[in-house]
Amino acid sequence: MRRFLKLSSLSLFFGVIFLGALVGQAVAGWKDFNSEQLAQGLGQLSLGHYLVSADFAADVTENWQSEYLQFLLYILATVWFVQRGSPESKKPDEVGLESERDQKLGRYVDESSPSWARAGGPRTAVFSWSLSIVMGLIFLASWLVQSVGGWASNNETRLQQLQDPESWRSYLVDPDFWSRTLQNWQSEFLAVGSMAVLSIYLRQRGSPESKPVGAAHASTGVEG
Amino acid sequence: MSGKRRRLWLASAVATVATLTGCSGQQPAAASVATRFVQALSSSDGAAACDLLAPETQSELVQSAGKACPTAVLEDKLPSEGAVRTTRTFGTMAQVRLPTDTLFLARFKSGWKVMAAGCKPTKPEHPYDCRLQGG
Repeated sequence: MRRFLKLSSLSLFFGVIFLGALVGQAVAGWKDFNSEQLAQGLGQLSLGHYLVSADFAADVTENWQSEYLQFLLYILATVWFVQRGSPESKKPDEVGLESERDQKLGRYVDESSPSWARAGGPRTAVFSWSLSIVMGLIFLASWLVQSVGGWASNNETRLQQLQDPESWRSYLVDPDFWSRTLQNWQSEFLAVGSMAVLSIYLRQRGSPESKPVGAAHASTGVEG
Repeated sequence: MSGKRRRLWLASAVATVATLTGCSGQQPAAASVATRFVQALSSSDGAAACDLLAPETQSELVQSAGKACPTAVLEDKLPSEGAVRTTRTFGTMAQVRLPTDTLFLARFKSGWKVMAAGCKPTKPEHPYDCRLQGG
């Protein structure tokens, strides 16, 4: 058990802080929602009802979709784009999908290779892209739920303001949908782009996301 | 995926969308309150109509009319005929359309209450102009 905890500590650490942050968001969002309702002389929601409300669903999934998009783009962009000096980047002569030898495919598979990598054909083709496919599907699913939750939440606000509700298709071109979406996208793109650049010149001793402290600024694709 | 599992999956997906959009069994309740409100007005039962008003709407009515709610609500000459044509519910809010009126309702712990009545559309995307409303 202790061995499992030690060998999975990274996943467990993020799992625990994710749940803690989600619970915190639920309670803070619920109090904020009820405070706004009270200010407008409207009814309050119980925590249980708030957790299944459109407002909470939109608030949660607008962040999820942007995080999954960020990592999806990073996974794909680092196949073809490079950044000289960044530990996050491949070396300039390695751009692209790489050879079967580099990727341990075809006659280069060994006994430890996953069965789908050894299978060849469509199964290996799917497995070769499986990380991007799954990240992309989670991104699309989260964005879809954001659009439905945001639509319902926006219509709730419109009814409070004595306006007609709008259709889901109209909401897809509504400024509210794109404001929620793009405010998350820009922050994710900034964070990931600045990490790629800052890691050229700055170091974190012991982190595989950083170059070794003594590595040259110009060395690319070297992780500590 | 088996037929039974597919039906279960579909039912959960519909239930999730219904919950998120506030459509889970709340429409009849909002429509029924709107119907009771209109019936109270048509039978000149001001007290019953006032019981169905949202607190802010009731106090706004009393304040602006300078009279008790049961008298003031009947003097407002709100449309009081016709059956519910459409109900659209989103979270804690609902819009109920009658042949000659549109009502806006809000959900409280005690149930749906009329927030605005006697509402006519103005311009597209603009708020309705309501004879009776809170705030």
